[in-house]
Amino acid sequence: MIVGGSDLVLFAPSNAPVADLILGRIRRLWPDSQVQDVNEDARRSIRDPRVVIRGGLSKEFLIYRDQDAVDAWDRDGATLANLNTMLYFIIGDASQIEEGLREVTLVCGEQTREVQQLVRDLEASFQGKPYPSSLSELS
Amino acid sequence: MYHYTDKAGYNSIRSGVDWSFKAHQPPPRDSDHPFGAYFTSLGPGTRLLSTLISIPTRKLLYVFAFIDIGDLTPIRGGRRERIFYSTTDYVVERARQIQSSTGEVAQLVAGEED
Repeated sequence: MIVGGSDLVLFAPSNAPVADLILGRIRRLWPDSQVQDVNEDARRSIRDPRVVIRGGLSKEFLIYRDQDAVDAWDRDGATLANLNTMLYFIIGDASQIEEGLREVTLVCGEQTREVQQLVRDLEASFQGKPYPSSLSELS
Repeated sequence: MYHYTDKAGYNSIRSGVDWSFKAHQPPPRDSDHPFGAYFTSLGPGTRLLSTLISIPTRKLLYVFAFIDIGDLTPIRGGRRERIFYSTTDYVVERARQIQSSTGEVAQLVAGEED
């Protein structure tokens, strides 16, 4: 049993709308993505009004790159080929380490340039700053 | 505590009186987890198990269960209550082993549903 993936730990101010910020950023990166709260069976388009309106309430959710990624994950699970086609976010409670912060874990596969840029953008947005990247930098 | 594997892994580990789980280096390109033997607190039948612990479904067909004595290290981040590791080979002596007839996950899950 070898656990794949990388668990990247970010911190956000405890009052930041973390899930909304994540969904907003991924909407630009993967416009055809499918979102699933881990406590529900339904996968919905990231542009679905229910995701736009209620997605921000999720504390633990999966974002698949597209429908092909959903199918591959359903069939094979977390293979090396699939790891970079789904992002898994866990929004924690207030940090035990530093007051006023909450932990945000991103589980992904290889830490590609795209993933590193995503992390920088999320960290900036959690602080209320604009994304450092521009759309042209994203594949 | 649980350790999932395939049939070959299952037969290898159960061949001794004590169960010895070998530490491995996760694939460095796709994982930032340390060298170790890995375990989970999530039992057979858990929804989205492959996703929640990042293991291919083909490696979730057999399972070992044993009594946790708190000596395993949690991984960092939000999965700290689900995934644990030992930095060296990890031995589970007979007294801690929870035996099942075949170790097959499908059979264990079907049994729970009966």
